[in-house]
Amino acid sequence: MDITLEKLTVVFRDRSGAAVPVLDVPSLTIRAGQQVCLVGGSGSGKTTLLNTVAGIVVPTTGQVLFDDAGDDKIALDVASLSEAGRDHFRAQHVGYVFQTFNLLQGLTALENVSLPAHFAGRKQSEARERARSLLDRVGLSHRLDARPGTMSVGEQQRVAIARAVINEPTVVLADEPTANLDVANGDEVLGLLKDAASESESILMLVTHEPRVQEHFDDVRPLHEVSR
Amino acid sequence: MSLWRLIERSLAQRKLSSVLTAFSVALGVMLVAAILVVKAEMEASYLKPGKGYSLVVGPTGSPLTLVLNTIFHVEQSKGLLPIRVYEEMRTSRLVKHAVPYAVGDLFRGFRVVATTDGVFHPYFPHPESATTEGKFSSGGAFVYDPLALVASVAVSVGNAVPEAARGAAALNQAVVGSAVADKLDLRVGDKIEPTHGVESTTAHAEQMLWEITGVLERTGTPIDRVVFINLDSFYRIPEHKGGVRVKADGSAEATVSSVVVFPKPKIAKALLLTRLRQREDLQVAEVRSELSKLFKIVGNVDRVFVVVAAMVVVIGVISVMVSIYNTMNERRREIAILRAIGARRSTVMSAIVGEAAVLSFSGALAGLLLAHGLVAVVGPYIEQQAGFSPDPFRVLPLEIPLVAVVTIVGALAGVIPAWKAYRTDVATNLAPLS
Repeated sequence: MDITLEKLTVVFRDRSGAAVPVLDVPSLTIRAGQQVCLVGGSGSGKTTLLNTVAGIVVPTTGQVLFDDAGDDKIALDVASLSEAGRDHFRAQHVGYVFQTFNLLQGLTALENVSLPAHFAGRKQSEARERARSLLDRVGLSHRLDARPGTMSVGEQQRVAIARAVINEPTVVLADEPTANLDVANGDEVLGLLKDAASESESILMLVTHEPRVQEHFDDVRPLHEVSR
Repeated sequence: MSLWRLIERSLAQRKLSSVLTAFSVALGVMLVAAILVVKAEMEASYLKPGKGYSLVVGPTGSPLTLVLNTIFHVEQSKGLLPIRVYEEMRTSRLVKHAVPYAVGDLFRGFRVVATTDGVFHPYFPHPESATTEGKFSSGGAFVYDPLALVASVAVSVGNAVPEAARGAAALNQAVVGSAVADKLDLRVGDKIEPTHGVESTTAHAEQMLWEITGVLERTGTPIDRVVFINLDSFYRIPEHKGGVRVKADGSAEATVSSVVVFPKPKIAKALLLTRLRQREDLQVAEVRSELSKLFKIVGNVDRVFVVVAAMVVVIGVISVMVSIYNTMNERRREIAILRAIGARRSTVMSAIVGEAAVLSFSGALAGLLLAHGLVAVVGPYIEQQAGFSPDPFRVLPLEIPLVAVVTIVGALAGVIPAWKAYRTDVATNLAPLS
């Protein structure tokens, strides 16, 4: 599936009700399986862009199309879906990796990873098996029952990567995934993230402000070129 | 990873708060259930003794007091009735069986009832048995001699013993209820000495002993706590002289406290009631009707208790809502994460409502256990005060619906915080914490 953003604008309202334009993307297409690094500074709309693709933020205007390039040529506009429809879409098509990991503290690593599979309607045994294999893939087979609070930041981000790809999503969205990590951990996590996205044949959309992260990508797009 | 596991983890994360919230529900349920159990036990214990009795005849006064005094062996006797009323009842063609009671003595805290051997007749409802022998766990009935009664009564007021009764002498004999025998470790052949008076107990001036001839089977009624002695021996006690009336012709006549009357079947009871109600020298109490009046009084009181306890349950359920609602601020991020990784709004709402339901359900279950524990703890006190011992293991059919209702109401209370969860803005709450 390709992702196409068409004439996308996001405008927030401040407390006084005044319009604050956050994002204006005339056109952006990312092909199936592509790994793209979107680079921008603070306040450039990086997170809003990812949230819009994930269906968390509804654009003010424009379309977020998930376009099946196959024979059927089915295009799904996430922006036009209802709230429940976007929830369902997210469970099936989106994996999310956050800067602050956002793992659920009460759950073990295995439970954190298998949770999106439960939301996507997968069988529990199947979800656990896949979660186990993904944690093994990111080198955490010995930490299945560990709670996030007992893990290092590098380990937590690896759990988050495994969680993002468990449903083999159409797109993995990564929001500053290395911002809280040291260089060594950051490089390792980036490698794992790219491999995991590639193994699940997902698009990888990563946003960052760090120049060193760009070096890991062939396709680097400054956000100011994408967004007006 | 099921919804149940999410709920379980969420509750485990706030263990102390969860336990305290469930406990507040448990307290309310405990009060409601304990009141209902004690009420049911009280009704059973008051209905059971009343079962099988029909009418009680006594001196004029309160019919309820007459019933309570005669059947439940509580309250004071309100006067005396000439024994001829008993004779009248016994010989009436409308009456199947009649038993006189003379009360006023105690034996180590247990009431003494002087009566005839008619109290052991199969017609007498407790202990239930088709034979007199079947009513005893050991021994048998005492000997009652009507002529000895005549002799005792004459002697007590210093009259000459009538010709027919000469040579008749009362034997001092007693039959004890099962609780009396158990608590005082009494057996057939033991001798007891009742004391005078029901409230202030003093030994009779002249030491007199009564020999136990039998121990009654357990009935689960106040009879278990009674010492029966033969009426003919009762008037041998000098202090009971006041219970003997000297008639105008100088002859002596015994009095009794009441007469338990069992009318013949069908219309006899109605006829007897009509006749007795016209009398001014006595009153008749219909046991069933007096008990239903009593339950009406008691019912109104315990309804107030149930309402108060139900309010405690409501407060407990509200505490479930408040407890979850107060955690919503700190849980907004958690909810946003769940939504970002694919949880539907309805899933998040269900988890919150489920949490409220689990807290209420576990509180209600714990409340039931506490209620039965409470009944066990206060049982001896209730027995002492009210004359019945509630069974802590008695499970009322109402307990299951009680748990269900508390769970449902608790789940409904969870809808308010769940609605807050439903409205949580995902994007805002996913932002890194500064």
